Amino acid sequence: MLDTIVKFLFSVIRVSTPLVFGAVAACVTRKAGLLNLAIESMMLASALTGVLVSGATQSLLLGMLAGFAAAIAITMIISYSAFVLKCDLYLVSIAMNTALVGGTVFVMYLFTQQKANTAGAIPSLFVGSMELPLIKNIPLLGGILSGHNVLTYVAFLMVFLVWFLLYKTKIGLRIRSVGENPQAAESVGISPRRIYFLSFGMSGFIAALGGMYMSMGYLTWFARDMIAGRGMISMSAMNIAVGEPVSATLAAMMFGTADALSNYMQLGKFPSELISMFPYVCTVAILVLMAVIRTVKATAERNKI
Amino acid sequence: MKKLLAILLTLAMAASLAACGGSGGGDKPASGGASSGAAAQQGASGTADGDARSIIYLCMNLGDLSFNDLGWEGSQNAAEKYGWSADVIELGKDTSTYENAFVDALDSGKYDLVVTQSNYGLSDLCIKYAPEYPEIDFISFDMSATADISGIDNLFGIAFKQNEGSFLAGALAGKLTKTNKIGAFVFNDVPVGNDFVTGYVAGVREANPDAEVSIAYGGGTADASKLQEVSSAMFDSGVDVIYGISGSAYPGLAKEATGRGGIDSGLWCIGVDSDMWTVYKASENADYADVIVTSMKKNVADSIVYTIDRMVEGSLPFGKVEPYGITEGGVGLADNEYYRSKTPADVLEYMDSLQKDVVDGKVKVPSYFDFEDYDAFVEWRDQ
Repeated sequence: MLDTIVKFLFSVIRVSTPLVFGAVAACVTRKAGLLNLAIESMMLASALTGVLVSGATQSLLLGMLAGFAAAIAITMIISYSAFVLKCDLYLVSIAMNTALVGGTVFVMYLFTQQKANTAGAIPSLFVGSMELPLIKNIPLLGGILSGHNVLTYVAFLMVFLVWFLLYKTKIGLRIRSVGENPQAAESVGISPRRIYFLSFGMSGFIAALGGMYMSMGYLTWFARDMIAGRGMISMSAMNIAVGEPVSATLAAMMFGTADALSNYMQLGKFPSELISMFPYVCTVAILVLMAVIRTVKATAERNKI
Repeated sequence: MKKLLAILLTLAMAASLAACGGSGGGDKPASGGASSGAAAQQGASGTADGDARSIIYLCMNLGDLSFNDLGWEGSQNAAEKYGWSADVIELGKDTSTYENAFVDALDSGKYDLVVTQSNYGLSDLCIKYAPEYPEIDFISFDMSATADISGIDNLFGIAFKQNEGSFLAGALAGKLTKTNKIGAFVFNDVPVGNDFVTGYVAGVREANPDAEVSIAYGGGTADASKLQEVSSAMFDSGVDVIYGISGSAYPGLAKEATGRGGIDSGLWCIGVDSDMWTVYKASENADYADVIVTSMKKNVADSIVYTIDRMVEGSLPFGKVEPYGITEGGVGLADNEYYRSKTPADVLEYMDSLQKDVVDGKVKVPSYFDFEDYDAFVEWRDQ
């Protein structure tokens, strides 16, 4: 039993990793006052580009650099359309998500003549897993925390880095001040447009890691539509936490737990419709619960005054 | 700059549409009304004379190294054999667009023989539109054996007895397991998927009544990460043989089993639809092949050629769904050198005699379609 719980918690961390990347990526733009709807497409683009370039060059570094470049290129197209050309940010983001669902298949077909996945079509590289020294010897905890993919550890490191960036650096202060009140920030000489570009760029960088975790770690190939709504789920994790990176990570892991639980439920005799519904019902339930808690708190505060 | 961006975005949208929608029907406009009318008339009267025909193959998407690809291979082989033309339309994941694409293909007038699989409502489209297009012949493979298409005299249905092949897979799993825990992952909770399950569970119970079977269902999408997580949970719980009934998601299972040491560590996988060991061995992921002891083959390609042969001879009974089982060569275990070398000798012997018993009718394999309703099946499955 204990062994099963350890393995279950291990799988929770593994399943949550892309959600954590996505949630943290969403936090950066949220703190600048903007919702990043296009995380899905950034993850898809980097997942594909990483696989294609690492397969072609046989260099993991080049593959990952190309993955970052692809995601950042997308953020730049979105930012340029929205902040310079004044298109609607959300429409551009949704268009990008839709375009890349087919666009990635199109590019995959161009380079590999495959339309379902690149497994077996190109010898792409991937990031391996690693054992944590010392921690791996601790009973139970070692089994849960050690032996994950390197990118999983990067994800949790990234949570801290983003928290540090937002709350302990000058640039973080600027991002937050633009998020609070762009006019006030502009009056003291901060260009909101530049901050928007910057926060979207950083968001793309972090989302790219999530995409590459999917195709170069978790799985070792690109498959069509492989992000499968993870970008959207991580956005709702960010929303629950109102853009705080640490709580957003906890929310993302809550969704990861629901997902992992649904995989373990498959072993029991549950109706399959119930199982496939489970993670999404959890998402809605948690969102409602958080909204209720917030309303109650706000009412209590008002009554105090 | 604005214009450039607009062009770029338009291109991106166009690329997405091209990849999602059909390639065959969309790219090439119909070659004119007059000639298409003539072709259609030829189709109605000229099958027996061996006139050139044109096949249109409709599927979800190619590249699964499995079911979708096999249907296309069969269509191409038949076309090559008779000097006909064959086009493919990949309908993509959005099933709500299927009906439009289907009718567009029929209306193009270019095609007089439709070959399509049954899943995702495609066989329902055949049933719906075959009477409206009497000049076009329809062959739908992988239909459920109980579908009633009598009276539609331009539609022929191929049903595979996946329960018979899966019965053998289940018996093999029952003999191979050391932990008496066996698993299966099914692409979706649909009748054909459950027919696999019925045969598999019956096979396990035949060969090893003590073994316990866990059945996991996917959500109908080819999500390899889902299959990887589910198989990881199964292996963790002590399952040592998994039958992955999803061609597109199969790499997820193969990767998980390979990562855990595969057959050398006592973990076995059974493939589906195509001879997956041979297919994977020839690909860049050759190391994944070694966990797949054998596959439950649906001989889709050969069955389509066989059906078209009968059509050309004029002996194909349209308006009927015919089951192709082990006897007809429609299904069976992939009998490759790897299967022969990895399976213990006594198990091989048992499997060969069991297969003979099924062919001779000594062993009756239950089918999902024999159950009264879904609940009766669930009760039998979980007993």
